[in-house]
Amino acid sequence: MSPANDRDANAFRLRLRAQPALRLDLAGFVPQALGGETPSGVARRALWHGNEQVPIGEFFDVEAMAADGPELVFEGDLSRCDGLGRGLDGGRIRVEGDVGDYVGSGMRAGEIVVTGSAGLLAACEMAGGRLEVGGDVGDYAASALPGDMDGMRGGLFIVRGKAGARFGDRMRRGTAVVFGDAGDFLASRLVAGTIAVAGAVGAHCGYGMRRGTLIFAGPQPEPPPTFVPTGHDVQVIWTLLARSLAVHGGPFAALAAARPRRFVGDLAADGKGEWLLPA
Amino acid sequence: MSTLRLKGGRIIDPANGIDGEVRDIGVRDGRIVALHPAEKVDREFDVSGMVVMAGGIDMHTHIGGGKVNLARMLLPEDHRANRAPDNPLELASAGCCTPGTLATGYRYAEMGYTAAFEPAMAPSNARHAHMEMGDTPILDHGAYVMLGNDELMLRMLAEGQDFERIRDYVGWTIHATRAMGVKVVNPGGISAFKFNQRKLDVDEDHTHWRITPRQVVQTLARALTELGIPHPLHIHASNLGVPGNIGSTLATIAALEGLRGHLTHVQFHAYGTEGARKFSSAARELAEAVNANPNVSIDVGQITFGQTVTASGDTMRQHANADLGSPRKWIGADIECDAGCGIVPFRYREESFVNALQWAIGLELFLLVDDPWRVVLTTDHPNGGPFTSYPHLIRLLMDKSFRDEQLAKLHPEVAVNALLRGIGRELSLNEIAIMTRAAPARLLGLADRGQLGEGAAADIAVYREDPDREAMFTTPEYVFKDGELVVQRGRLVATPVGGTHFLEPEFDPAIERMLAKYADEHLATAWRHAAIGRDELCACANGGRLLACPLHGRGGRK
Ligand SMILES: [Zn+2]
Ligand SMILES: [Zn+2]
Repeated sequence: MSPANDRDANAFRLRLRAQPALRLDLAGFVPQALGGETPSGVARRALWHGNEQVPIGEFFDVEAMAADGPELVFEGDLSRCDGLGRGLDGGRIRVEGDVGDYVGSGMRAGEIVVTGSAGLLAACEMAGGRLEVGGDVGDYAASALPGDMDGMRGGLFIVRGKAGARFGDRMRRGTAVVFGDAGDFLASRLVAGTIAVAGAVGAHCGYGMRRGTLIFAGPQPEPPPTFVPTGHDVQVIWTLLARSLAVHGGPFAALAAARPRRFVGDLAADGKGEWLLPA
Repeated sequence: MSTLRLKGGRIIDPANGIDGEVRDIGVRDGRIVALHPAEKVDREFDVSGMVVMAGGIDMHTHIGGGKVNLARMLLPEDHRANRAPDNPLELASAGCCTPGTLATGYRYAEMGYTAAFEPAMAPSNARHAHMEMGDTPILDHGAYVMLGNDELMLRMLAEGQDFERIRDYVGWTIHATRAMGVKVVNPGGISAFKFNQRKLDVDEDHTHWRITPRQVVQTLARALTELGIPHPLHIHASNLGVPGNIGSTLATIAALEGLRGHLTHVQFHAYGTEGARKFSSAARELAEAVNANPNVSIDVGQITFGQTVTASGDTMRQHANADLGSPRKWIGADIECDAGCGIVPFRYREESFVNALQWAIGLELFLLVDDPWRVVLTTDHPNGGPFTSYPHLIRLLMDKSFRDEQLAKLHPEVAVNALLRGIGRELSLNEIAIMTRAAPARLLGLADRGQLGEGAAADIAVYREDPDREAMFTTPEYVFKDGELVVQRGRLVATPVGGTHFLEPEFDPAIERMLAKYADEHLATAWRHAAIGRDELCACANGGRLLACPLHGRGGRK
């Protein structure tokens, strides 16, 4: 870039020039940390490439762009770039392409949009803000880091494609919406929060679910033996819930008209989780 | 041949009666020698104005074996919280309260420690314990094997079998597992837990075997005495952590009937039931008993505030404490019914009355026992807190005003009422050197460690004088392991492999027939794989030196 263009900015476009040989750790590389920086300054910022630190400019072309607030736009196949938006506390990140593991993990505020697919542990321990993945997400999305007690605990997480296994494991608050199919153990050990899924689900759905709500907008799975039907009239809460999901469109647009069956379980755990089966 | 000289240091070597004398220390091929002042050496270190001590010895620290590994696996968050290494010598290893084997060796050495002993090795898991310790760099190591809750010993006691047979079984177990001693954990209580008992007092019957903790303690203490094991029976007494447990702790001392015994992590065993909260310090009663019974030694198990994890063989007490876990998760486990295992993460909080009092009780015990040769400085790592808190603990013991400042920050009832407030004693450097070097070496029977006399191993720590003793003991100027410089200005400069201390007591081999039959009938592992041979120990120990220790009054099995 010419020096004339190397001015302070609070929004940057980063175009992946070369695929990194190893995993790149983008944790900490968030819009708010770069506000007031110049493109060449951003390019000099170091990040971990395997076990050595390299300037981000080795892999990305950086240019300033116009935006209303702190923002980063990444272009290219970032499937070897992990930790993007980890702990994000405001601002916007957009990835035009795929992204690696841990995207949006522990984010508290702000917005991340990924047009492609994300790797493992997307939105794990997410606590607030909005994360949207246009493609698929890998295993353990909206769940907890290995060994941790709580998964996703706030915010809105939208997956337009398919979800891997253990989606929402130990999740305890917030809303997750999956347009495609979900893998095995969807909502396992769910403590609280809401998951709405429009595709088919894998084996052991709701395994060890303690509280929280699962809504099946598409195929209606057979509840396992440790879930039991309840005769409650859920029409009031259903109306509110369906209205809040309708904004996501598609299979979630017309749920309000349905009369859902309600099951509770997993009776092998706390047994206060609910399945809402509107079809 | 390599020689070095530490010139002009202030020597604190209590084992040889030297307290602050300024003189040189010579080293040849890893041993301390007298060098003529004119003799040329390969390397000379000017340590004038600095304090020179033997390398530190931690005689009770959970650094190897299944339970330690389970604690690591239970707390991946502890490993994520770790600092990134900035020393290219360090291989990847992480963890704060449950450090990996490598980080354990690095952090100990950086404080001037050169040996550490795992106190709770399950016999069936001895290989794992030795392998993990072998993987721990720099430090020499050894372990105490757990007995007294194994079904075989309890059955032999219940059947009234000859003492000599039980003694031979103890001797065989130490030999086969290459241990440095025997630890009894909640005598009989771990087994009683499996028979649904939730507490077991010193004179209470095990519901199944109809034997008492008193019998277990007496039998083991006598067996170790007759086998000539230098380290007295290592006793984790009954009722750990229970208010009022001072009664069972004193009864355990009485049960020894004058035989030597080492009561471990006594802070957790010195509780009364006075006051509105029915929880009080019994440090004075315990200290008086220790002062009155020269056969008894202790280590303290001081607590420090913050996140840690408790890892114990005491399944009975850990099961009882599981609900207090933070984060709220725990593990209980067992192998071959030969001991126990309970892991509960825990956060000691200054604003908690109970934790504040535990902190005060530990310090009271350090300061109220008269003879420093019978008190060893420990936090029962990681149970009371990580070993990295030792420099802080040393400052608390040496600096009354610093201690008072810390006490004032705690739960107000403890800050105002603690016995500790009235204790003015400040430990000297000489006393600290006893509690961290000379006494543990003596209690373990390590004649050539923990001291700086001619012929001793050149495990040496050199500290720059600093009135802030925490800073002083955090960052030694030099640390030598067997004469090799391993730490300079608190930073690692070499990571040699440590050696393994172990014992090979004599026993009547006739016992092996009975043990083989028992193993065939009851155990999952094949009898012919039970004993660890010397070659195998060497492989387990990562090629480190085998340091067979002499027994009392006999030469050991040839
Ligand atoms: Zn213990
Ligand atoms: Zn211990």
